[in-house]
Amino acid sequence: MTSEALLQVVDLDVRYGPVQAVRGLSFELDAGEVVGLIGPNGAGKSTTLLAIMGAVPTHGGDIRLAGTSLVGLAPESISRLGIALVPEGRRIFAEFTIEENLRLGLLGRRTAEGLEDDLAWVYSLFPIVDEQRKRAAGQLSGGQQQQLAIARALVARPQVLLLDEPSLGLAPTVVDALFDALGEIRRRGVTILIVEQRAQLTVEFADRSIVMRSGGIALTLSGDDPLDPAEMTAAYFGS
Amino acid sequence: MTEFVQSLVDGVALGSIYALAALGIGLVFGVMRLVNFAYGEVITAAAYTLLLTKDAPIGLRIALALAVAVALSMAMEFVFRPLRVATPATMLVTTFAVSFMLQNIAILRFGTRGESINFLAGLNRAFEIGSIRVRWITVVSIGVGTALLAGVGYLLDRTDIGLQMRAAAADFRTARILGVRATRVIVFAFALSGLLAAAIAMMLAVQRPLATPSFGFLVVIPALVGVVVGGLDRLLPATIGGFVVGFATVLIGNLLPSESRVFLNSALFGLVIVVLLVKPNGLFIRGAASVDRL
Amino acid sequence: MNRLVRSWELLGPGAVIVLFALVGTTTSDSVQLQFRSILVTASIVVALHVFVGNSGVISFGHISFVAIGAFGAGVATTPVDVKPFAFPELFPFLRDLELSNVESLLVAAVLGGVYALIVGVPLMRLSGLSAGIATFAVIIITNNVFRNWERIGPGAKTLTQIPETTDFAQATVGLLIVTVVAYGYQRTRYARMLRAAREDPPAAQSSGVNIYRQRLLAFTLSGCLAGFAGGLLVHLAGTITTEQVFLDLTFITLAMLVVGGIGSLWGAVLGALFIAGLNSYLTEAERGIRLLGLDVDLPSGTRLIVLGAIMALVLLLRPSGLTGGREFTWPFARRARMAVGN
Repeated sequence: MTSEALLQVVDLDVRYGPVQAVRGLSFELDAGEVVGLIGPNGAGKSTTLLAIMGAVPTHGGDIRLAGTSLVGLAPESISRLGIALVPEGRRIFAEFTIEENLRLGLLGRRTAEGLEDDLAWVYSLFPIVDEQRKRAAGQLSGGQQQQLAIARALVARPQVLLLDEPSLGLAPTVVDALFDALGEIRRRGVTILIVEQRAQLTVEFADRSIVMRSGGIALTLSGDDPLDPAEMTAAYFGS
Repeated sequence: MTEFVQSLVDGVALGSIYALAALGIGLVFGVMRLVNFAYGEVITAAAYTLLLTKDAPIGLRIALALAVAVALSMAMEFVFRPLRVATPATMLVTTFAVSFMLQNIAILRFGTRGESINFLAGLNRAFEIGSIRVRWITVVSIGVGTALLAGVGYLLDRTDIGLQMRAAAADFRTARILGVRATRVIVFAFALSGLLAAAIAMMLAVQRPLATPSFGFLVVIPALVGVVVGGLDRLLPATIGGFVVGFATVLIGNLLPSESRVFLNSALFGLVIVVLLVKPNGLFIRGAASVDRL
Repeated sequence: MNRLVRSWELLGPGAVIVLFALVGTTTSDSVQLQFRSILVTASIVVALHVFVGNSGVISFGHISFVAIGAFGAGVATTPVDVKPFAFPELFPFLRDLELSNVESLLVAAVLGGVYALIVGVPLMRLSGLSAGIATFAVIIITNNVFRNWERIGPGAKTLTQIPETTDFAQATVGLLIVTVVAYGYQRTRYARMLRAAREDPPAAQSSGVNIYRQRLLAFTLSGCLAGFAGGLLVHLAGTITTEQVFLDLTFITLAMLVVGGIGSLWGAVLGALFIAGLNSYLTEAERGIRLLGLDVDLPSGTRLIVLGAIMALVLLLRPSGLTGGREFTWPFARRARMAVGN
């Protein structure tokens, strides 16, 4: 019996009114894998993450977590099944304290067991979240807010972590530190699906990278593949 | 001078009641972006419950009024569910339609002439501080109003469900992604606002002892005005807005010469227009209307 | 879309209106009053549509313009010898005034338009809920003033002795005039600019659309038509009270518009005829009628409940209204379009 992939996207269709954002998309994530979704704007990358999270309705196909179909479930249910999304633009609650932001992250947690250990680990990854607990989240810098957003997702102890453009608007050194932290998260065994604009960074970091264009897959790269500019251009913009 | 102080005290009392109404409206708006015109009918229903239980012991009357208000409010939540994804125009008119319908049911059942509720009428007695006569109900209104406002504030700030409600109000989609249960939060908001409605009905029933079909409607319209003027999007400004409208109603009413007193509503709403034009801040910083002012 | 197809957007509603009126003339006297009343109410709804449909801004205050038109026309056509008894407090120039029917309708239209202009100048800067509250304030103030300032209005009394000149011809022609004007306006580029602003305000503004000005234009025209409808209203039964042009009418006309479908002229007409028809039918049912062989006798007052319930239901189940915001299309029109190769 073959082991099923942890997260499966099968023939996914997502429409915004008359616009087809994702068409016939199929890919899989095995447990512990890190997969990147890259491609030009409007390719449907963010939409794919939102669809997995149940935040946008789907119009065809299936999404499965360990064999259970997620289609039609509410986001709050999907979060409790073990998927956490770090949304585009971070979307932290600026007027709440850091601590309150984290408390909200705990809602998706399935078990109280090991909470102490998880929190300790998250604090070690992102010290600022521990040191400045009572501070209003809006006072943090962009990089720090991104850390908070990821921490918030991690305290739910997700099986699958979805990240939507975490490097957006951040300085290179900050991004490097961020990806170091993501490396730690990967070492912990969390399955990661990351949407990014920074193609090179993603391809180097991920086990596999999928280039999306116009709602479908244009190219799949493994982490070891060298980046061929001609191939990438063709994938991004069509030959 | 004493009359002025008298007005101030009465103003604070009415302001407290309107602040509660504004809070009730604001709680639901926060989590659902819905302005519930039919909120007044929840207040009216509580008032009629008090009427129908005239001969029952006071504890039972209060309990039933609370139960009816909360039940009706939660029934409204259920009925309004399809409105979660509707345009503001449709929301406004639909809740208006339900309000209209319920008011006419009340007219059908009870007629338009009021009936005396006779609830804690003893609180209308007054005591004197110096040359000022203060009715007990005024003190109770201020006290209960403050206690409830503080209570809801505590609930929102210190409890888990309160945190979830605030999160839903701030960013509904992200809140759901994190795991906030949308329906639970919205139902809770409606139930809580029902509780407030019952309290409003009880405090008003003492001083406006006639139960009429427009009992609640007459409170909600000024309260709604206060909410919009104060800042629909944020609970504290909205509540303050409600308070200000209640306070201003009493003060302006007492300042106007008696022949002009019939024009109180015009003065009040004229003031509202001026505020809306001059200070739209606090109105829809984010939310349904993207451009609220050109 | 070719001309033939386009013209059905107006001819369709127009034909329905005329048909409705013709059916009405065949009924008994008491029911005829209902029919004429429906036609007048429809005029108010179409007037409302001119602003709300094109701008997307809900106005809760439009009945103010109906009121001023109604009272203005009513006072103007009350016979001079009756006036001192009906309105002892009137300003002298009003007391000595007596106009013909048509003149009074024109006066009503002008009054409505002017009042709308005065109100619109400050208010058209607002959108969304602020506009709703502000226009609601207008109707409250209007009602308050008319009810208590007896030098210009009826006060708490009922205006009576007004000539009942809104017969079927007038009611129908009146509604047709309002409909034609509404259609004529919505085909102008001013209306198009306003609709663009409704869809995407920032984009419209950066394309050079002066949203404020277009809204003010629509609002004033809409107020003018509403005043005209008010003139028709007051001559319907020859009596009017301030309560008749206050919140109940505000609610009913808005609900008709929304149920019909905001944004569409056909929606306004359909919503009005449908709801008003239902309203009248229920009024008759309250008096006891035979329906499909059964005796229907509703307790009085259920009419408004049923109406409110139906309106709420339509909005909950089909929020874009009966027409979905689309104009009238005639089935043949599709063939015409295909034949022309559009």
